[in-house]
Amino acid sequence: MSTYEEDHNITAAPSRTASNPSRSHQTLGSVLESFLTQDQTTESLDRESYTNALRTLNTQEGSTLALELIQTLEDTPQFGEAKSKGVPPEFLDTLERVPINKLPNKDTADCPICTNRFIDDKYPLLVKLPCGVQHGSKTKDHIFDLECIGPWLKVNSTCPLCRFDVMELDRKRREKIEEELRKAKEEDSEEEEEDWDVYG
Amino acid sequence: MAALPKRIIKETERLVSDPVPGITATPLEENLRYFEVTIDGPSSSPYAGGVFQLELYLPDDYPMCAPKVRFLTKIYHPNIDKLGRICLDVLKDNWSPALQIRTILLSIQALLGAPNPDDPLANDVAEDWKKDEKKAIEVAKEWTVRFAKAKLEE
Repeated sequence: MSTYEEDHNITAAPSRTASNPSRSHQTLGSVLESFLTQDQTTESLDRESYTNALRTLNTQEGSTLALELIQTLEDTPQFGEAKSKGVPPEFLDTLERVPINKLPNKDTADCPICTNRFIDDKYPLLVKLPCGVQHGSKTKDHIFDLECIGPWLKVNSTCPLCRFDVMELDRKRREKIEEELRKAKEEDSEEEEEDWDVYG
Repeated sequence: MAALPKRIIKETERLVSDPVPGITATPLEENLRYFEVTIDGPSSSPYAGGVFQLELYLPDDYPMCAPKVRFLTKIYHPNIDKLGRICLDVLKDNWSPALQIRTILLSIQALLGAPNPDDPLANDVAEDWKKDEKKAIEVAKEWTVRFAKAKLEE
């Protein structure tokens, strides 16, 4: 007979409660542990986890140092921001694809990142960033190999050529949607109140 | 060791075949990511006549992150510290993968021509610079003669 772990293709988690029934510090410990040993590639924890861990420390142990650390965490802009500086992975799928034949200079055009000519690639996969930089009367598109721009945008949401923040449009769009949702909700609640007047 | 990306090979070839005036960059034979660099002091600066040695290293994730560059020759400059580390935006937050070794070295050369004591790395030098610019420029000239010209006269 197979075990539960085998059925679900997972490895058994060490049973914390059995060995340490009275301690709720286990997760706090692991959070701090991963904070101390964290290298840049670990993305499992964010500012929120640390803040929560420290808050627990403060309420359970009455540690004032924990409070100070929370403050430091909040005052350190690059902490946590390092992650939010890049674009979410699904953003890359929304980038406009450009067929190589549509390029006016398709024989010479190259990728600014790898510096290889697009035409030398048998199956080039090109994307255009939404910068829209004006060059005289016509716009000059900023076009890259998806393979090259992808890793960059994941760490930094700016165009390598003009530093335009590609998330800006997205952010504005999102704000607009939220605003509309909020308005719609307000209207809804107003209607509800009216309903109460009628039926209540 | 992992194969050298094509971009690095191309950049190296161009640095050799079409060098930037006043700048040389030569990779070590045993490590093609490590470059020995020299930059001539700009003629209108206190560093004129000096030849400054630097080291440049391309990290594994180059060009997704900036090259590591450091002055080996001692230099009196508000944006370069005792260890030769350089305070330059394009080497830090403003790095872009569309920049290259040659553009970075040009930026460093430009920094020699335009010291910026308001964004200092070497605090004491920057303070001297702001307090008495004339005197600071004299010191920079002296250091240039002492450290960046000595080699030439040998």
